[in-house]
Amino acid sequence: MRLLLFLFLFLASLSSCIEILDDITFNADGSGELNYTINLSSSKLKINSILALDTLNGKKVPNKEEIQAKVSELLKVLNCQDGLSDVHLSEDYDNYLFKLSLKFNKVSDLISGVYVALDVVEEFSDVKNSDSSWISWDGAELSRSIPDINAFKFRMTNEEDKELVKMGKYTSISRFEYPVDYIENPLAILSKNNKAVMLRSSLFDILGDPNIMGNRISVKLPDY
Amino acid sequence: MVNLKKGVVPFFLLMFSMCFSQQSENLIPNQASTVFSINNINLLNKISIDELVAYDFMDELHQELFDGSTSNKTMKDAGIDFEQRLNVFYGKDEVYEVTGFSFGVADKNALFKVFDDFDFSETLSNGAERYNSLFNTLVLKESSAVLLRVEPTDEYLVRMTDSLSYFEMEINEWSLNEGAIQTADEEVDIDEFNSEEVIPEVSPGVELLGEEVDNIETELTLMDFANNQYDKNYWEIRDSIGFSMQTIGMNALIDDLILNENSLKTVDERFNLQLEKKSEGIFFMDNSRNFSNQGGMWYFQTMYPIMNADLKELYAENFMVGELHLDSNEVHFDLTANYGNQLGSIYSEMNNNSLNKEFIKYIPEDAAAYFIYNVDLRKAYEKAYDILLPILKDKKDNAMVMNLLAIQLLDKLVDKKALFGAYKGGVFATFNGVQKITKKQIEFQYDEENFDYSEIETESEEDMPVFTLGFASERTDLCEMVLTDLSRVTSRIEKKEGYWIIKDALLETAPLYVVCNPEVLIISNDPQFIKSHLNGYGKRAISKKQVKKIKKSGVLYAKLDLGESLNQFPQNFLDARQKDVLNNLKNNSGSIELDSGDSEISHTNYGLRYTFESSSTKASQFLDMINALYILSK
Repeated sequence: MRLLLFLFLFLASLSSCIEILDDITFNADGSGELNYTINLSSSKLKINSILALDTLNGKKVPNKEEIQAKVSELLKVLNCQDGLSDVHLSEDYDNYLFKLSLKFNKVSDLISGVYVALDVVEEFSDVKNSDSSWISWDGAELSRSIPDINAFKFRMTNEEDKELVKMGKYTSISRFEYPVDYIENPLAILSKNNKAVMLRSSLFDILGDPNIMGNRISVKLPDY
Repeated sequence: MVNLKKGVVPFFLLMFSMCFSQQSENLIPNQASTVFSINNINLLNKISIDELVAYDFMDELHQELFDGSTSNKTMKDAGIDFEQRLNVFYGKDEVYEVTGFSFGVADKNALFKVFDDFDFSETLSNGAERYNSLFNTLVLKESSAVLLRVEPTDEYLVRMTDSLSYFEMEINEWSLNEGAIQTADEEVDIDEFNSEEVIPEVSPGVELLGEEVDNIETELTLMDFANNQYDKNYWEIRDSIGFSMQTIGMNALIDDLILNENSLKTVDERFNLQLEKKSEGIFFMDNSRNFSNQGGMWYFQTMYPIMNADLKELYAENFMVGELHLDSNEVHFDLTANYGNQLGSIYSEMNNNSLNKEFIKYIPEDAAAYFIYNVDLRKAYEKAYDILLPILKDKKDNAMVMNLLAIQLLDKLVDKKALFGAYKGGVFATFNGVQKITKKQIEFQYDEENFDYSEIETESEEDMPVFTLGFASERTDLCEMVLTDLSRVTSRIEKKEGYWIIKDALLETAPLYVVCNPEVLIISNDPQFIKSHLNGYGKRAISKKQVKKIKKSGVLYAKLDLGESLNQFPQNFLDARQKDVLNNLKNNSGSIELDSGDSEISHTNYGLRYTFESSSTKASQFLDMINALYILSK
């Protein structure tokens, strides 16, 4: 039966990829809203196949219930954080599409809230040590990057993992109340209404150099 | 008399130099578990260095390709001695991986003109010269040379780094926050990091390397204390450990191989005998030391480590030897898998069975590739039970006693006739080409006005291999029963005339068909097979001549049309190693046929015939085959 399982796993490995979308709205008063989406729909069969196993490469594979429990624990932690509100998470286990949304009073609330929540997940606990200022916003100027994904200790020891990450995409959108005046990163594009900036890259490039997602944006405040 | 002397003296000088001159096979480390040795390297005379270096078994020299030093150079230009063998070797234990090759050197200057990345490092006490490049070490001893690369295994490196990384993290916190000292102290006992527990036992063949590694953790920890470098991140710590281990491992290997002359040839008589063979190439693999090839045993190793360790003695005499022959348009590889009598008696019971005739009718004559594997699991089980139980009963630890008890109870309580009737062990598979399937996924569509986005369902086409798999079974009624019950709870499983269909089973798009014939359980995604050949291919099945050939073969027979199968097969299905093999053979046309003899008590013979119809040279075909075998055996 190993052969059968082997063939099914092969079938499952067809063109898998990960897509991450982070979309943050920054209000002039320092508050804002985060929408974070992880789209694994093109890898759903692979994920299903992996979840069907007890262990993979000698390591235990969590089942769907364990994942759900971990996610709800994470949500509880976020809900308890000062300065964060309207925390929602939608989980679509048919398409493996996960969307987190929340509002924050200050960017520092968002950062500390995210780190406390990540501490809940053992694999991500190193992020806190590696980077504590990936975002700053004073109402007129934004400086942002993404947390160093290398700190997550991804173990891409086999070629298949590397291929998976090569095909993965990361999209970062920053939205503002007022028109954008300046964008530092030449790879970023500005929306037609001048109030949103988008930066896209492959996960593979980001793992090689997380700074490529760094950006400084300033907005044109109205003259009162 | 004077003339006689004139003739005799050079003759004796020649004989003396032949008997005592250094040969490349003496520079194969005893840590190597797999060796390919090319005897007739005159064959490779005209092979360009670029072509040679591009092969996986020359992986250590890949960086040479990029500096232009190999351009338009042949092996002859590189100063290689064609009177000596070219030996490619590989070895791996739980701590180190050793790769490299040894060869004869006719012209040292020419050699370093081509391989110009190597800088002189030192002259060793026995006169051998050591050269280093960024990744490799080259040792020149008399008229032979060996290129060596030593690297710690990923698993070991990760384990070491994890422990040190955690340790450093704790130290860091102590220095920043005194309040944390108590907590950290309770959680981490520093002695743990110097305990022997983290150092796995290494096999006798690599003991020398393993011993040297024992103190790395302590050394690195102290080094970091001294340098006050607590802020290293995970990857930097990992790089430091890797580099230190490489240096220590390489020095130990050179001491062992070059100074103490403990080569594979001197320590392993089986390999020595192989070297006497006169074929174009020889192969040697010591399975008992080939850790990487035990990947298939991972579940057993993980779940029953004690039992696994005890059963290792079964594999002690397990080694493979082979010869590669080259004819005008054929490379054939004769391989003998040797094993001890205990393992041999299990294999004999399992493998020596007559061909399952039911399989034949389901293999179409034009199948791009197919294989038949004829085993009887029940006979193998009975034999294994008789042999393994006494071995395991000698052990007296608690875990083993519980495992044994479970095994014996299962043996008594389970209906073995029903169990092994349901899955007898015999299996066949055919690859019938590829078909296009449509796959659905979610994508985001962005509005350029404000980058608002919406989710859309998109479709993409993928190539999917069409296959049929058959299992020998006397109880296909059990599968029928399971599918009948499942079909009550899901509309995706449906009974049709003569078969079952599981809708959207593959990639949530393509159906899978299950056919419960009385003697064979068939699983397929080939609509043509289901539509027209449910009871077999009749006259379109493989020919009688082919069947005769299969019957002559023992436990295994496989045939593969390179043009029809490899060039069509979607690579997404393969892991890196399999992709390497595929790409290596992909541009060729011809066929590969694999067969086996009956399993004897001490060995089983296998034969692999690669018949090519290609415009490329015999030497290229030969190297292609060696490369494919090298990747597979690694």
